[in-house]
Amino acid sequence: MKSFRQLSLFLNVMWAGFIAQVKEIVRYNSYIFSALLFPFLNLSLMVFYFRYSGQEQFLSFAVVGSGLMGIWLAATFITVYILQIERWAATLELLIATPSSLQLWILGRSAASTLLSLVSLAITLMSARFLFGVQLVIQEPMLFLSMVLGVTITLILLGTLISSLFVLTRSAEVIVNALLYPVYLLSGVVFPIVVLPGWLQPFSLLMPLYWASLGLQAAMAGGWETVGESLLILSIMSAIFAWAATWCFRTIEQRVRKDASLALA
Amino acid sequence: MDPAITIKDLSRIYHVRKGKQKETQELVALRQVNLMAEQGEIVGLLGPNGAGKTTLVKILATILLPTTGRVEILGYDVVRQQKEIRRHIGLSFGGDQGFYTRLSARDNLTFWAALYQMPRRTITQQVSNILELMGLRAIADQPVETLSRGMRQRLHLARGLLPNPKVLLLDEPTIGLDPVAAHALRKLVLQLKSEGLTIFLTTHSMSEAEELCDRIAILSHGELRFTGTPSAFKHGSTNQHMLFLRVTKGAESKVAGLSSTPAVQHMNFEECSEHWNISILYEKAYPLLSQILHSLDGGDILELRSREQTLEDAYIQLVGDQGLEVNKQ
Repeated sequence: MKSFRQLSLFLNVMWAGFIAQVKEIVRYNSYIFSALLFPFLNLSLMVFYFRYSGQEQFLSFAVVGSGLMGIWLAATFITVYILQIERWAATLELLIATPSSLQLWILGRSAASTLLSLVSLAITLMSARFLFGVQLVIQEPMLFLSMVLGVTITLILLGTLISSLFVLTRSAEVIVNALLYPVYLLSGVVFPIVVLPGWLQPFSLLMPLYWASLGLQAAMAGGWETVGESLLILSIMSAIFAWAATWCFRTIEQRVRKDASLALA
Repeated sequence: MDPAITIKDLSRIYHVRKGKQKETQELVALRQVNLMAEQGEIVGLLGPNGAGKTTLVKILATILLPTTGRVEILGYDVVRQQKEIRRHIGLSFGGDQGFYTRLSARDNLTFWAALYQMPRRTITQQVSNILELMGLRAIADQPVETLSRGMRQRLHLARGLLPNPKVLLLDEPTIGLDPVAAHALRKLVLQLKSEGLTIFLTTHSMSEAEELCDRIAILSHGELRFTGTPSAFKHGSTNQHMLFLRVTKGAESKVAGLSSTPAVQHMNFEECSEHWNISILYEKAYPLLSQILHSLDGGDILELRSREQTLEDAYIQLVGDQGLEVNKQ
Protein backbone atom coordinates (compact mmCIF):
# COMPACT_ATOMS: atom_id res chain seq x y z
CA MET A 1 0.00 0.00 0.00
CA LYS A 2 2.81 2.34 0.97
CA SER A 3 4.77 1.51 -2.17
CA PHE A 4 1.62 2.08 -4.26
CA ARG A 5 1.21 5.52 -2.69
CA GLN A 6 4.90 6.23 -3.32
CA LEU A 7 4.55 5.21 -6.98
CA SER A 8 1.47 7.38 -7.33
CA LEU A 9 3.37 10.40 -5.92
CA PHE A 10 6.30 9.72 -8.30
CA LEU A 11 3.94 9.56 -11.27
CA ASN A 12 2.23 12.77 -10.12
CA VAL A 13 5.53 14.64 -10.14
CA MET A 14 6.48 13.25 -13.55
CA TRP A 15 3.08 14.07 -14.94
CA ALA A 16 3.28 17.62 -13.58
CA GLY A 17 6.72 18.00 -15.23
CA PHE A 18 5.30 16.58 -18.46
CA ILE A 19 2.37 19.01 -18.52
CA ALA A 20 4.58 21.96 -17.55
CA GLN A 21 6.87 21.16 -20.45
CA VAL A 22 4.03 20.78 -22.94
CA LYS A 23 2.58 24.13 -21.87
CA GLU A 24 5.97 25.85 -22.07
CA ILE A 25 6.73 24.35 -25.49
CA VAL A 26 3.42 25.59 -26.82
CA ARG A 27 4.40 29.09 -25.74
CA TYR A 28 8.03 29.00 -27.01
CA ASN A 29 8.17 29.79 -30.73
CA SER A 30 11.77 28.60 -30.93
CA TYR A 31 10.52 25.06 -30.40
CA ILE A 32 8.88 25.14 -33.82
CA PHE A 33 12.31 25.67 -35.37
CA SER A 34 14.07 23.10 -33.20
CA ALA A 35 11.59 20.31 -33.48
CA LEU A 36 9.87 20.85 -36.79
CA LEU A 37 11.87 23.04 -39.16
CA PHE A 38 15.33 21.70 -38.31
CA PRO A 39 14.60 18.04 -39.24
CA PHE A 40 12.81 19.23 -42.38
CA LEU A 41 15.84 21.30 -43.45
CA ASN A 42 18.10 18.34 -42.74
CA LEU A 43 15.89 16.09 -44.80
CA SER A 44 15.94 18.52 -47.75
CA LEU A 45 19.72 18.77 -47.60
CA MET A 46 20.24 15.01 -47.44
CA VAL A 47 17.64 14.15 -50.10
CA PHE A 48 19.20 16.66 -52.54
CA TYR A 49 22.67 15.39 -51.74
CA PHE A 50 21.92 11.68 -52.23
CA ARG A 51 19.60 12.20 -55.20
CA TYR A 52 21.92 14.45 -57.20
CA SER A 53 25.03 12.46 -56.40
CA GLY A 54 23.37 9.40 -57.92
CA GLN A 55 23.06 7.50 -54.63
CA GLU A 56 19.29 7.00 -54.52
CA GLN A 57 19.72 3.75 -52.62
CA PHE A 58 20.59 5.83 -49.52
CA LEU A 59 17.42 7.94 -49.60
CA SER A 60 15.55 5.90 -47.00
CA PHE A 61 18.69 6.17 -44.89
CA ALA A 62 18.50 9.97 -45.20
CA VAL A 63 14.83 10.04 -44.22
CA VAL A 64 15.29 7.93 -41.07
CA GLY A 65 18.46 9.86 -40.21
CA SER A 66 16.69 13.22 -40.42
CA GLY A 67 13.87 11.99 -38.19
CA LEU A 68 16.34 10.70 -35.63
CA MET A 69 18.23 13.98 -35.69
CA GLY A 70 15.00 15.73 -34.74
CA ILE A 71 14.36 13.36 -31.85
CA TRP A 72 17.96 13.67 -30.65
CA LEU A 73 17.74 17.47 -30.78
CA ALA A 74 14.61 17.42 -28.63
CA ALA A 75 15.95 14.85 -26.19
CA THR A 76 19.22 16.64 -25.54
CA PHE A 77 19.17 20.28 -26.58
CA ILE A 78 15.66 21.05 -25.41
CA THR A 79 16.03 19.05 -22.19
CA VAL A 80 19.27 20.81 -21.34
CA TYR A 81 17.71 24.12 -22.25
CA ILE A 82 14.93 23.33 -19.77
CA LEU A 83 17.48 23.26 -17.01
CA GLN A 84 18.96 26.59 -18.06
CA ILE A 85 15.49 28.11 -18.10
CA GLU A 86 14.95 26.75 -14.58
CA ARG A 87 18.23 28.37 -13.53
CA TRP A 88 17.43 31.74 -15.17
CA ALA A 89 13.94 31.72 -13.65
CA ALA A 90 15.46 30.96 -10.22
CA THR A 91 13.21 27.92 -9.88
CA LEU A 92 16.06 25.41 -9.68
CA GLU A 93 16.76 26.21 -6.03
CA LEU A 94 13.07 26.05 -5.23
CA LEU A 95 12.80 22.66 -6.93
CA ILE A 96 15.63 21.33 -4.79
CA ALA A 97 13.80 22.55 -1.69
CA THR A 98 10.71 20.42 -2.37
CA PRO A 99 10.36 16.85 -1.05
CA SER A 100 10.25 15.50 -4.63
CA SER A 101 13.21 14.36 -6.64
CA LEU A 102 14.44 16.87 -9.21
CA GLN A 103 15.14 13.86 -11.42
CA LEU A 104 11.43 12.95 -11.67
CA TRP A 105 10.50 16.49 -12.60
CA ILE A 106 13.20 16.62 -15.29
CA LEU A 107 12.26 13.13 -16.47
CA GLY A 108 8.66 14.31 -16.97
CA ARG A 109 9.83 17.38 -18.87
CA SER A 110 12.31 15.35 -20.93
CA ALA A 111 9.58 12.85 -21.80
CA ALA A 112 7.31 15.64 -23.02
CA SER A 113 9.89 17.22 -25.31
CA THR A 114 11.04 13.85 -26.69
CA LEU A 115 7.51 12.54 -27.26
CA LEU A 116 6.53 15.78 -28.97
CA SER A 117 9.57 15.39 -31.21
CA LEU A 118 7.92 12.28 -32.64
CA VAL A 119 5.80 14.80 -34.50
CA SER A 120 8.98 15.81 -36.31
CA LEU A 121 9.60 12.17 -37.23
CA ALA A 122 6.10 11.96 -38.67
CA ILE A 123 6.57 15.24 -40.55
CA THR A 124 9.90 14.00 -41.91
CA LEU A 125 8.36 10.74 -43.17
CA MET A 126 5.40 12.54 -44.73
CA SER A 127 7.56 15.23 -46.36
CA ALA A 128 9.85 12.56 -47.76
CA ARG A 129 6.91 10.71 -49.25
CA PHE A 130 4.72 13.54 -50.50
CA LEU A 131 7.17 16.43 -51.05
CA PHE A 132 10.28 14.67 -52.27
CA GLY A 133 8.65 11.55 -53.71
CA VAL A 134 10.85 9.14 -51.75
CA GLN A 135 9.29 5.65 -51.86
CA LEU A 136 9.43 4.43 -48.27
CA VAL A 137 8.47 0.83 -47.73
CA ILE A 138 8.10 -0.36 -44.16
CA GLN A 139 8.03 -4.14 -44.34
CA GLU A 140 7.31 -4.62 -40.63
CA PRO A 141 5.23 -1.71 -39.30
CA MET A 142 4.93 -3.23 -35.82
CA LEU A 143 8.68 -3.71 -35.61
CA PHE A 144 9.17 -0.15 -36.81
CA LEU A 145 6.83 1.18 -34.11
CA SER A 146 8.57 -0.96 -31.47
CA MET A 147 11.87 0.53 -32.53
CA VAL A 148 10.45 4.07 -32.37
CA LEU A 149 9.19 3.35 -28.84
CA GLY A 150 12.54 1.85 -27.81
CA VAL A 151 14.49 4.82 -29.21
CA THR A 152 12.16 7.29 -27.53
CA ILE A 153 12.52 5.69 -24.10
CA THR A 154 16.31 5.47 -24.44
CA LEU A 155 16.61 9.10 -25.49
CA ILE A 156 14.27 10.33 -22.73
CA LEU A 157 16.54 8.62 -20.18
CA LEU A 158 19.69 9.86 -21.90
CA GLY A 159 18.29 13.41 -21.95
CA THR A 160 17.61 13.14 -18.21
CA LEU A 161 21.14 11.88 -17.58
CA ILE A 162 22.72 14.67 -19.63
CA SER A 163 20.58 17.29 -17.90
CA SER A 164 21.79 16.05 -14.51
CA LEU A 165 25.34 16.90 -15.52
CA PHE A 166 24.28 20.35 -16.61
CA VAL A 167 22.93 21.14 -13.15
CA LEU A 168 26.61 21.79 -12.44
CA THR A 169 27.42 24.08 -15.36
CA ARG A 170 26.01 27.33 -16.63
CA SER A 171 27.32 26.91 -20.20
CA ALA A 172 25.15 23.94 -21.07
CA GLU A 173 23.86 25.14 -24.45
CA VAL A 174 27.37 25.83 -25.72
CA ILE A 175 28.49 22.29 -24.90
CA VAL A 176 25.35 20.70 -26.34
CA ASN A 177 25.62 22.82 -29.51
CA ALA A 178 29.22 21.74 -29.93
CA LEU A 179 28.28 18.08 -29.49
CA LEU A 180 25.28 18.08 -31.83
CA TYR A 181 26.98 17.41 -35.17
CA PRO A 182 29.81 15.17 -33.92
CA VAL A 183 27.10 12.90 -32.45
CA TYR A 184 25.24 12.87 -35.76
CA LEU A 185 28.40 11.98 -37.67
CA LEU A 186 29.53 9.37 -35.17
CA SER A 187 26.09 7.76 -34.98
CA GLY A 188 25.89 7.15 -38.70
CA VAL A 189 22.63 9.03 -39.17
CA VAL A 190 24.10 11.32 -41.85
CA PHE A 191 26.05 8.61 -43.68
CA PRO A 192 27.00 4.99 -42.86
CA ILE A 193 29.76 4.64 -40.29
CA VAL A 194 31.85 2.55 -42.69
CA VAL A 195 33.07 5.81 -44.22
CA LEU A 196 34.49 6.89 -40.84
CA PRO A 197 38.17 6.19 -40.01
CA GLY A 198 38.56 2.71 -38.54
CA TRP A 199 39.63 3.93 -35.11
CA LEU A 200 36.43 5.98 -34.77
CA GLN A 201 34.00 3.19 -35.64
CA PRO A 202 34.02 1.43 -32.22
CA PHE A 203 32.82 4.69 -30.67
CA SER A 204 29.75 4.58 -32.91
CA LEU A 205 28.69 1.39 -31.17
CA LEU A 206 28.30 3.41 -27.96
CA MET A 207 25.84 5.81 -29.58
CA PRO A 208 22.13 5.03 -29.05
CA LEU A 209 21.37 6.82 -32.31
CA TYR A 210 23.52 4.29 -34.18
CA TRP A 211 21.44 1.38 -32.87
CA ALA A 212 18.27 3.35 -33.44
CA SER A 213 19.17 3.98 -37.06
CA LEU A 214 20.26 0.38 -37.58
CA GLY A 215 17.07 -1.00 -36.03
CA LEU A 216 14.73 1.33 -37.92
CA GLN A 217 16.44 0.54 -41.23
CA ALA A 218 16.16 -3.16 -40.43
CA ALA A 219 12.46 -2.81 -39.54
CA MET A 220 11.86 -1.14 -42.89
CA ALA A 221 13.64 -4.01 -44.61
CA GLY A 222 11.97 -6.67 -42.45
CA GLY A 223 15.10 -7.81 -40.59
CA TRP A 224 13.83 -9.29 -37.33
CA GLU A 225 17.23 -10.26 -35.99
CA THR A 226 18.81 -6.83 -36.35
CA VAL A 227 15.74 -5.18 -34.83
CA GLY A 228 15.89 -7.60 -31.87
CA GLU A 229 19.60 -6.93 -31.40
CA SER A 230 19.09 -3.16 -31.59
CA LEU A 231 16.19 -3.25 -29.12
CA LEU A 232 18.21 -5.37 -26.70
CA ILE A 233 21.16 -2.98 -26.81
CA LEU A 234 18.86 0.04 -26.47
CA SER A 235 17.23 -1.63 -23.43
CA ILE A 236 20.63 -2.21 -21.82
CA MET A 237 21.58 1.40 -22.56
CA SER A 238 18.26 2.61 -21.08
CA ALA A 239 18.91 0.67 -17.86
CA ILE A 240 22.42 2.15 -17.63
CA PHE A 241 21.17 5.70 -18.33
CA ALA A 242 18.40 5.35 -15.72
CA TRP A 243 20.80 4.06 -13.09
CA ALA A 244 23.44 6.68 -13.94
CA ALA A 245 20.88 9.52 -13.91
CA THR A 246 19.62 8.47 -10.47
CA TRP A 247 23.17 8.29 -9.12
CA CYS A 248 24.13 11.62 -10.72
CA PHE A 249 21.11 13.51 -9.43
CA ARG A 250 21.71 12.21 -5.91
CA THR A 251 25.41 13.02 -5.98
CA ILE A 252 24.99 16.34 -7.71
CA GLU A 253 22.33 17.54 -5.29
CA GLN A 254 24.77 17.12 -2.41
CA ARG A 255 27.49 18.85 -4.43
CA VAL A 256 25.43 21.89 -5.39
CA ARG A 257 24.26 22.24 -1.79
CA LYS A 258 27.92 22.33 -0.81
CA ASP A 259 29.14 24.58 -3.64
CA ALA A 260 26.12 26.90 -3.83
CA SER A 261 26.17 26.62 -7.63
CA LEU A 262 22.44 26.43 -8.29
CA ALA A 263 21.67 30.12 -8.40
CA LEU A 264 22.90 32.52 -11.06
CA ALA A 265 23.83 35.23 -8.59
CA MET B 1 7.94 20.41 22.53
CA ASP B 2 11.01 20.65 20.26
CA PRO B 3 12.00 24.13 19.10
CA ALA B 4 10.94 24.78 15.51
CA ILE B 5 14.43 25.90 14.53
CA THR B 6 17.71 25.26 16.31
CA ILE B 7 20.97 26.70 15.00
CA LYS B 8 24.17 25.83 16.84
CA ASP B 9 27.63 27.20 15.98
CA LEU B 10 26.68 27.53 12.33
CA SER B 11 29.35 28.69 9.89
CA ARG B 12 29.15 28.83 6.13
CA ILE B 13 32.15 29.53 3.93
CA TYR B 14 31.99 30.09 0.17
CA HIS B 15 34.96 29.44 -2.09
CA VAL B 16 34.89 32.25 -4.61
CA ARG B 17 36.98 32.20 -7.78
CA LYS B 18 39.40 35.10 -8.26
CA GLY B 19 38.59 36.28 -11.78
CA LYS B 20 39.61 33.69 -14.38
CA GLN B 21 42.25 32.11 -12.18
CA LYS B 22 41.73 28.67 -10.72
CA GLU B 23 42.63 30.00 -7.30
CA THR B 24 39.76 30.55 -4.92
CA GLN B 25 39.41 32.72 -1.91
CA GLU B 26 37.35 32.01 1.17
CA LEU B 27 34.36 34.17 1.88
CA VAL B 28 32.88 33.71 5.33
CA ALA B 29 29.14 34.26 4.97
CA LEU B 30 28.18 33.04 8.46
CA ARG B 31 30.40 32.69 11.49
CA GLN B 32 29.44 30.75 14.65
CA VAL B 33 25.75 31.66 14.54
CA ASN B 34 23.53 30.43 17.39
CA LEU B 35 19.81 31.00 17.20
CA MET B 36 16.56 29.33 18.14
CA ALA B 37 12.91 29.76 17.17
CA GLU B 38 10.16 28.26 19.31
CA GLN B 39 7.10 26.78 17.63
CA GLY B 40 4.48 29.41 16.84
CA GLU B 41 6.98 32.24 17.05
CA ILE B 42 7.90 34.88 14.46
CA VAL B 43 11.64 35.46 14.35
CA GLY B 44 13.00 38.28 12.22
CA LEU B 45 16.50 38.32 10.82
CA LEU B 46 17.87 41.78 10.15
CA GLY B 47 21.14 42.96 8.73
CA PRO B 48 22.63 44.99 5.91
CA ASN B 49 23.04 43.64 2.39
CA GLY B 50 25.64 40.88 2.30
CA ALA B 51 25.33 40.18 6.03
CA GLY B 52 24.43 36.51 5.40
CA LYS B 53 20.64 36.60 5.81
CA THR B 54 19.78 34.83 2.56
CA THR B 55 22.54 32.28 3.13
CA LEU B 56 20.99 31.44 6.48
CA VAL B 57 17.51 31.10 4.96
CA LYS B 58 18.90 28.86 2.21
CA ILE B 59 20.52 26.61 4.80
CA LEU B 60 17.22 26.37 6.66
CA ALA B 61 15.50 25.58 3.36
CA THR B 62 18.04 22.75 2.74
CA ILE B 63 19.28 24.43 -0.45
CA LEU B 64 22.74 24.96 1.04
CA LEU B 65 24.79 22.86 3.45
CA PRO B 66 26.42 24.35 6.52
CA THR B 67 30.21 24.29 6.48
CA THR B 68 30.31 23.60 10.23
CA GLY B 69 27.77 23.57 13.03
CA ARG B 70 24.35 22.01 13.39
CA VAL B 71 20.95 23.15 12.17
CA GLU B 72 17.70 21.39 12.99
CA ILE B 73 14.14 22.10 11.92
CA LEU B 74 11.44 20.42 14.03
CA GLY B 75 14.19 18.13 15.32
CA TYR B 76 15.36 17.07 11.83
CA ASP B 77 18.94 17.69 10.77
CA VAL B 78 19.35 19.79 7.58
CA VAL B 79 22.32 17.73 6.40
CA ARG B 80 21.01 14.19 6.83
CA GLN B 81 17.22 14.54 7.02
CA GLN B 82 16.51 17.08 4.31
CA LYS B 83 13.61 15.09 2.83
CA GLU B 84 11.70 15.18 6.15
CA ILE B 85 12.38 18.89 6.54
CA ARG B 86 11.17 19.64 3.01
CA ARG B 87 7.80 18.10 3.86
CA HIS B 88 7.27 20.56 6.70
CA ILE B 89 8.58 23.87 5.41
CA GLY B 90 7.16 26.51 3.12
CA LEU B 91 9.53 28.79 1.28
CA SER B 92 9.02 32.24 -0.18
CA PHE B 93 12.01 34.07 -1.62
CA GLY B 94 10.17 37.06 -2.99
CA GLY B 95 11.25 39.15 -5.95
CA ASP B 96 10.27 38.89 -9.61
CA GLN B 97 11.73 35.44 -10.23
CA GLY B 98 10.91 31.94 -9.07
CA PHE B 99 8.03 31.13 -11.42
CA TYR B 100 7.35 29.72 -14.87
CA THR B 101 6.44 33.15 -16.12
CA ARG B 102 4.73 32.13 -19.34
CA LEU B 103 2.34 29.92 -17.42
CA SER B 104 -0.59 31.11 -15.33
CA ALA B 105 -0.55 31.63 -11.57
CA ARG B 106 -2.89 28.65 -11.22
CA ASP B 107 -0.68 26.40 -13.37
CA ASN B 108 2.37 27.40 -11.36
CA LEU B 109 0.72 26.56 -8.06
CA THR B 110 -0.64 23.29 -9.46
CA PHE B 111 2.86 22.19 -10.47
CA TRP B 112 4.34 23.19 -7.12
CA ALA B 113 1.54 21.30 -5.35
CA ALA B 114 2.56 18.12 -7.21
CA LEU B 115 6.19 18.75 -6.28
CA TYR B 116 5.12 19.08 -2.65
CA GLN B 117 3.57 15.63 -3.09
CA MET B 118 0.02 16.66 -2.40
CA PRO B 119 -2.53 13.99 -3.39
CA ARG B 120 -3.76 14.69 -6.90
CA ARG B 121 -7.45 14.75 -5.96
CA THR B 122 -6.89 17.57 -3.46
CA ILE B 123 -4.60 19.77 -5.58
CA THR B 124 -7.26 21.64 -7.56
CA GLN B 125 -9.24 22.53 -4.43
CA GLN B 126 -6.18 23.47 -2.39
CA VAL B 127 -4.84 25.70 -5.18
CA SER B 128 -8.21 27.45 -5.47
CA ASN B 129 -8.33 27.97 -1.70
CA ILE B 130 -4.85 29.49 -1.61
CA LEU B 131 -5.58 31.75 -4.58
CA GLU B 132 -8.72 32.93 -2.77
CA LEU B 133 -6.88 33.45 0.54
CA MET B 134 -4.18 35.52 -1.15
CA GLY B 135 -6.65 37.60 -3.16
CA LEU B 136 -5.33 36.21 -6.44
CA ARG B 137 -8.50 34.63 -7.76
CA ALA B 138 -9.11 37.36 -10.34
CA ILE B 139 -5.70 36.94 -11.95
CA ALA B 140 -5.39 33.18 -11.43
CA ASP B 141 -5.43 32.34 -15.13
CA GLN B 142 -3.15 35.15 -16.32
CA PRO B 143 0.47 34.39 -17.23
CA VAL B 144 2.78 35.29 -14.35
CA GLU B 145 4.80 37.56 -16.68
CA THR B 146 1.83 39.94 -16.82
CA LEU B 147 1.47 40.24 -13.03
CA SER B 148 2.59 43.25 -11.00
CA ARG B 149 5.32 43.02 -8.40
CA GLY B 150 2.76 42.98 -5.61
CA MET B 151 0.81 40.15 -7.21
CA ARG B 152 3.97 38.12 -7.70
CA GLN B 153 4.90 38.68 -4.08
CA ARG B 154 1.52 37.32 -3.03
CA LEU B 155 2.02 34.39 -5.38
CA HIS B 156 5.37 33.67 -3.69
CA LEU B 157 3.62 33.56 -0.35
CA ALA B 158 0.84 31.43 -1.83
CA ARG B 159 3.43 28.88 -2.93
CA GLY B 160 5.01 28.96 0.51
CA LEU B 161 1.66 28.20 2.14
CA LEU B 162 0.59 25.57 -0.38
CA PRO B 163 2.03 22.51 1.42
CA ASN B 164 0.43 23.52 4.77
CA PRO B 165 3.87 23.99 6.33
CA LYS B 166 4.71 23.99 10.03
CA VAL B 167 7.60 26.40 9.43
CA LEU B 168 7.44 29.22 6.89
CA LEU B 169 10.64 30.84 5.63
CA LEU B 170 10.16 34.30 4.15
CA ASP B 171 13.03 36.19 2.53
CA GLU B 172 12.14 39.90 2.42
CA PRO B 173 8.42 39.29 1.94
CA THR B 174 7.39 42.93 1.50
CA ILE B 175 10.26 44.12 -0.67
CA GLY B 176 9.01 46.28 -3.52
CA LEU B 177 5.43 46.38 -2.27
CA ASP B 178 3.42 49.57 -1.95
CA PRO B 179 2.44 50.49 1.64
CA VAL B 180 -1.11 49.15 1.32
CA ALA B 181 0.02 45.81 -0.10
CA ALA B 182 2.80 45.56 2.50
CA HIS B 183 0.30 46.23 5.28
CA ALA B 184 -2.04 43.54 3.93
CA LEU B 185 0.81 41.06 3.75
CA ARG B 186 1.93 41.82 7.31
CA LYS B 187 -1.65 41.33 8.49
CA LEU B 188 -1.69 37.94 6.81
CA VAL B 189 1.61 36.96 8.43
CA LEU B 190 0.15 37.79 11.85
CA GLN B 191 -2.94 35.76 11.05
CA LEU B 192 -0.75 32.79 10.10
CA LYS B 193 1.11 33.12 13.39
CA SER B 194 -2.19 33.06 15.28
CA GLU B 195 -2.87 29.73 13.58
CA GLY B 196 0.30 28.31 15.11
CA LEU B 197 2.71 28.64 12.20
CA THR B 198 6.38 29.30 12.99
CA ILE B 199 7.68 32.06 10.74
CA PHE B 200 11.30 32.94 10.09
CA LEU B 201 11.65 36.09 8.01
CA THR B 202 14.37 38.40 6.81
CA THR B 203 13.69 42.08 6.41
CA HIS B 204 15.33 45.47 6.07
CA SER B 205 12.34 47.22 7.57
CA MET B 206 12.61 48.09 11.26
CA SER B 207 8.92 48.90 11.53
CA GLU B 208 8.08 45.54 9.98
CA ALA B 209 10.34 43.75 12.43
CA GLU B 210 8.80 45.67 15.33
CA GLU B 211 5.25 44.99 14.19
CA LEU B 212 5.63 41.30 13.35
CA CYS B 213 8.45 39.71 15.26
CA ASP B 214 8.41 38.13 18.72
CA ARG B 215 12.18 38.13 18.55
CA ILE B 216 14.75 39.64 16.25
CA ALA B 217 18.28 38.62 15.39
CA ILE B 218 20.75 41.04 13.86
CA LEU B 219 23.45 39.77 11.55
CA SER B 220 26.47 41.79 10.57
CA HIS B 221 29.45 40.48 8.60
CA GLY B 222 28.05 36.97 9.10
CA GLU B 223 28.07 37.29 12.90
CA LEU B 224 25.05 37.49 15.14
CA ARG B 225 25.24 40.79 16.98
CA PHE B 226 21.95 40.70 18.85
CA THR B 227 19.18 38.24 19.65
CA GLY B 228 16.11 39.14 21.68
CA THR B 229 12.79 40.92 21.57
CA PRO B 230 12.49 44.19 19.64
CA SER B 231 11.65 45.96 22.92
CA ALA B 232 14.79 44.54 24.60
CA PHE B 233 16.79 45.88 21.69
CA LYS B 234 15.27 49.32 22.22
CA HIS B 235 15.37 49.01 26.01
CA GLY B 236 19.11 48.52 25.85
CA SER B 237 19.24 51.95 24.30
CA THR B 238 16.77 53.98 26.40
CA ASN B 239 19.54 55.80 28.23
CA GLN B 240 20.68 57.16 24.91
CA HIS B 241 19.67 60.27 23.04
CA MET B 242 19.99 61.37 19.46
CA LEU B 243 20.92 64.91 18.49
CA PHE B 244 20.65 66.32 14.97
CA LEU B 245 22.53 69.42 13.97
CA ARG B 246 22.57 71.37 10.73
CA VAL B 247 25.54 73.73 10.72
CA THR B 248 27.18 76.11 8.26
CA LYS B 249 30.24 75.02 6.31
CA GLY B 250 33.37 75.24 8.43
CA ALA B 251 31.48 74.87 11.71
CA GLU B 252 31.53 71.08 11.55
CA SER B 253 35.18 71.02 12.62
CA LYS B 254 34.22 72.71 15.89
CA VAL B 255 32.15 69.69 16.98
CA ALA B 256 34.28 66.96 15.36
CA GLY B 257 36.42 66.77 18.49
CA LEU B 258 33.43 65.53 20.51
CA SER B 259 33.76 62.11 18.90
CA SER B 260 36.53 61.29 21.35
CA THR B 261 34.24 61.97 24.31
CA PRO B 262 33.42 58.60 26.02
CA ALA B 263 29.73 59.50 26.36
CA VAL B 264 29.42 59.93 22.58
CA GLN B 265 28.52 56.55 21.06
CA HIS B 266 28.37 57.47 17.44
CA MET B 267 28.76 60.52 15.21
CA ASN B 268 27.79 60.80 11.56
CA PHE B 269 28.70 63.67 9.24
CA GLU B 270 26.95 64.32 5.96
CA GLU B 271 28.15 67.10 3.66
CA CYS B 272 25.47 68.94 1.70
CA SER B 273 25.97 71.72 -0.85
CA GLU B 274 25.73 74.62 1.66
CA HIS B 275 25.80 73.00 5.07
CA TRP B 276 26.66 69.89 7.11
CA ASN B 277 24.20 67.48 8.72
CA ILE B 278 25.57 65.93 11.89
CA SER B 279 23.89 63.24 13.96
CA ILE B 280 25.21 62.32 17.39
CA LEU B 281 24.17 59.41 19.58
CA TYR B 282 25.16 59.97 23.20
CA GLU B 283 24.39 59.04 26.79
CA LYS B 284 21.38 60.97 27.97
CA ALA B 285 22.99 62.01 31.24
CA TYR B 286 25.91 63.72 29.56
CA PRO B 287 25.54 67.52 29.09
CA LEU B 288 26.35 67.38 25.38
CA LEU B 289 23.97 70.11 24.33
CA SER B 290 25.57 72.78 26.53
CA GLN B 291 28.99 71.69 25.33
CA ILE B 292 27.92 72.08 21.69
CA LEU B 293 26.35 75.44 22.30
CA HIS B 294 29.55 76.50 23.99
CA SER B 295 31.69 75.36 21.04
CA LEU B 296 29.62 76.91 18.26
CA ASP B 297 28.73 80.51 17.53
CA GLY B 298 25.04 81.32 17.30
CA GLY B 299 25.28 81.87 13.53
CA ASP B 300 26.75 78.42 12.95
CA ILE B 301 23.59 76.55 13.90
CA LEU B 302 20.91 76.32 11.22
CA GLU B 303 18.84 73.64 12.94
CA LEU B 304 19.00 71.64 16.17
CA ARG B 305 16.77 68.72 17.14
CA SER B 306 16.90 66.15 19.90
CA ARG B 307 14.91 62.92 20.44
CA GLU B 308 14.92 59.43 22.06
CA GLN B 309 16.75 56.73 20.14
CA THR B 310 14.56 54.56 17.92
CA LEU B 311 14.97 50.92 16.92
CA GLU B 312 16.38 52.12 13.62
CA ASP B 313 18.97 54.32 15.35
CA ALA B 314 20.02 51.36 17.48
CA TYR B 315 20.26 49.19 14.38
CA ILE B 316 22.35 51.74 12.48
CA GLN B 317 24.59 52.12 15.49
CA LEU B 318 25.08 48.36 15.64
CA VAL B 319 25.81 47.75 11.98
CA GLY B 320 26.91 51.25 11.07
CA ASP B 321 30.33 50.14 9.92
CA GLN B 322 28.84 48.30 6.94
CA GLY B 323 28.78 51.17 4.52
CA LEU B 324 25.62 52.74 5.85
CA GLU B 325 27.45 55.83 7.01
CA VAL B 326 27.99 58.54 4.46
CA ASN B 327 30.99 60.86 4.56
CA LYS B 328 32.03 59.96 8.08
CA GLN B 329 34.89 62.12 9.28
